Amino acid sequence: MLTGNILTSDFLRKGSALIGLRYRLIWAQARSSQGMISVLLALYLLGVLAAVLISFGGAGAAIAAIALGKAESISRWMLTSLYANGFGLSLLFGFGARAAFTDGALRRFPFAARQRFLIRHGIGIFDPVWTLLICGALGLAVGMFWLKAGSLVPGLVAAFLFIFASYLTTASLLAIVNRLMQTRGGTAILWGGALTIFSVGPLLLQSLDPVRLRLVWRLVDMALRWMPPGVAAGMMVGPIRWSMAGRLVILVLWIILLALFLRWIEHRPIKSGTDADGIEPIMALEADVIGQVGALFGRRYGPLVDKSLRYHLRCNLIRYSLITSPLLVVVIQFLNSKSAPGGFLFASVLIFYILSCATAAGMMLNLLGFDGAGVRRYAVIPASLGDALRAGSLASMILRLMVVLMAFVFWIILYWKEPKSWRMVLMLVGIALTGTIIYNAIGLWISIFSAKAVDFDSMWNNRLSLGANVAMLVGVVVPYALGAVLVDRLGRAAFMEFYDQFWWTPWVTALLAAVLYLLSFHNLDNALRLKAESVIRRIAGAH
Amino acid sequence: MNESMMQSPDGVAIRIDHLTKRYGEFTAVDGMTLEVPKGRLFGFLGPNGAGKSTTIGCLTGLLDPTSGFVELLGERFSSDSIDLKRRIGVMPEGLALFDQLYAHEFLAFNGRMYGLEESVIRQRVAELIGALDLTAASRKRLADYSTGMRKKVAFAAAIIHRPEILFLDEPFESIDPAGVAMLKDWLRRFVSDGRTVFMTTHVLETVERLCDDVAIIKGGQLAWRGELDCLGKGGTLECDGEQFSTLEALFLHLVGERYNHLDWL
Repeated sequence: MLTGNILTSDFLRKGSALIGLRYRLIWAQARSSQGMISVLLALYLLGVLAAVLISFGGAGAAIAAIALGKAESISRWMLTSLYANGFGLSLLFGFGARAAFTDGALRRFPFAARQRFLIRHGIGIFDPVWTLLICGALGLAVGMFWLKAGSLVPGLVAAFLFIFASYLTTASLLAIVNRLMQTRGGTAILWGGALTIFSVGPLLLQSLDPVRLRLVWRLVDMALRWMPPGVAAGMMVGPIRWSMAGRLVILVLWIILLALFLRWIEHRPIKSGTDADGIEPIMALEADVIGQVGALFGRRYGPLVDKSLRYHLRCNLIRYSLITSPLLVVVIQFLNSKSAPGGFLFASVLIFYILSCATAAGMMLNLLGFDGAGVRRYAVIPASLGDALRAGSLASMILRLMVVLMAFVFWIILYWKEPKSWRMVLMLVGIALTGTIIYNAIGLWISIFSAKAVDFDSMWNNRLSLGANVAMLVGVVVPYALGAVLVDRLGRAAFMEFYDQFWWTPWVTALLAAVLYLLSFHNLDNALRLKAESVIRRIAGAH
Repeated sequence: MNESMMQSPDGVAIRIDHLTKRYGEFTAVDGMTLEVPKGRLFGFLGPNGAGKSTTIGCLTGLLDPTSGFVELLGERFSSDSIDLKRRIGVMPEGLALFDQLYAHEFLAFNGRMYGLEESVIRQRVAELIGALDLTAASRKRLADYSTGMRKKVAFAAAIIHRPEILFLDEPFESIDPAGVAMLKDWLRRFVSDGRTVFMTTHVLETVERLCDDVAIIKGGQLAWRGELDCLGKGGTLECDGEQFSTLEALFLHLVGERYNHLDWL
């Protein structure tokens, strides 16, 4: 068992002190200028989430009062959606314990291995995201009791245990993904998995007739009954009865199994493919593809482009973004409104624009951020910090163009049945080029004025600086919203008319973007001269 | 001595003239003036926070002075002096390694940045990795190296282009004794053909045995400067009219002895 005689008062006191420290660190981060955006976003999302949760809880309770027969089913699906929210937010905002609370960091304190496990995940579950979800689950339980659709004590117990189970499931899933990302073959497995889930899955569901589709949903619903959301929902609804004890046992068993699985997966050694490839290091200097690509950029930029490509292609987050971005074209099938004219074109335009802006944004909008203390080297070698930035931007451009090319190939294969024309292809290429070039131009300036040190190994976090967050929000959301509103107001027919006459305009914007990029490329040195010391200090830290 | 080394006719490798560096209200280096002749192993000492790293930062391009100036090899130096940077080698504080590269990639990167030919890079990288005993770790990224191994890589990156002036910030700490002995031998050979080493360290015994000249700074200002040759011949160092038989005694005299006691310890 995980517990035993390890839950001593001394352990609980130290554990709660560390949880308190976690919150103090969150506050300290929020007080820095770089952290302000996290606070604003977090507050916004907390507000939205709180509203959603309250309405969910209220609606669930109201429905339960009206139709007692469906209360359990609705609660089951509501708890499932709560879990999905927790998983998504954990991915977005970083998950559980940070570097200061890793197993390695906790080893300096007098804790046993099991105590360290409990502390790490205790800190994780008291993260703001999960605290909110606890409120949501408790709200549902209280709502059921209030409307006389459930009992209070079993409901509250079920809510707490459900959150524990959800947290452990999320932690296990992310631990698996983290481990896969650190192995060479793991990236391909993840890519295949994502491809299957997002493309084959929906396509299969679409191909089913309504009767079979209902059967599939019934089977999913039945499976959910034995999973934590279903078991917890069963405990929240109805009067106290003996069957609740059975559900309690199932829920506790789930928690024990998930905790054991999490411990097992965390203790498995990571077999990294990158350090044991058997290539003689000195030989590798001669026969290296990245080196050959770098050499194309001459003596001034070649070594820096080579370094930037090598560095970013070794970052799990960047690799993940580069590999999964072309899969975004799969989403076109969901946006494609077949009843409206030009639905496929409109969806393709949106996706290729977003793809060209958002791919590996962490690299493009913070070109030196991954270097850590290494950023000081640019100041002492015979190159300017501006050269390092320009080379990073060229590397970013190369990677992004490769992604766009892959996405086009994928788009042609996946939608081979859809009608296409050369004008459509040229328009999409123009849009992808515009996004790629303009965002790399902006990236040069944001890397100077809003540089941020980035944890190279951290997989799940918002790594963008204040400026980068603003650029992403404004650059992606505003054009998307504008496009959607315009098409909604003017109608798809107007969009198609515009396309027929002005399909070439993205090439004009791409040209203008190229001018902006070249101007930025050649004129950033004066700004950098003023900001160089502060950029280095921000990324490398003060020495 | 090669042609470029002859460009400084007065034989001065490093000239610091009224160098001041401020961070807001705080003055890290306060009007420092100092000359380092060519062909010397120069020790730059001072207590923590004295301004050593800031001074080296100004000498190597990491920082721009607030006022005053620096000349290296007879030419005015600033963070934009790309040509001059090709003639110096730097092992900065914190080492400034690209942690996600392998040692051979990092050294090759440095070699290319200093304009070495590919064949020369390959030869020197192989020799450095072998000589510094890094071959066994060649399949690890620098992030996974021990502190001592990281120091060796940073040292190798600083000398790969055979610079005329070598700036070393705490070069020997964490390196094994055999490695330190070899590096000291390299440094002696390095200065024997007219090149210059400017190093900081807190290990005064090393400075006493290795360096030809020493400067001690305190509070961002030069507190003492002199030659150490006399110590090896049984002589003494003079400061404020007093004689000191060791560098440690002189250092403690200048920065103040601190023997605070902790009753509970």
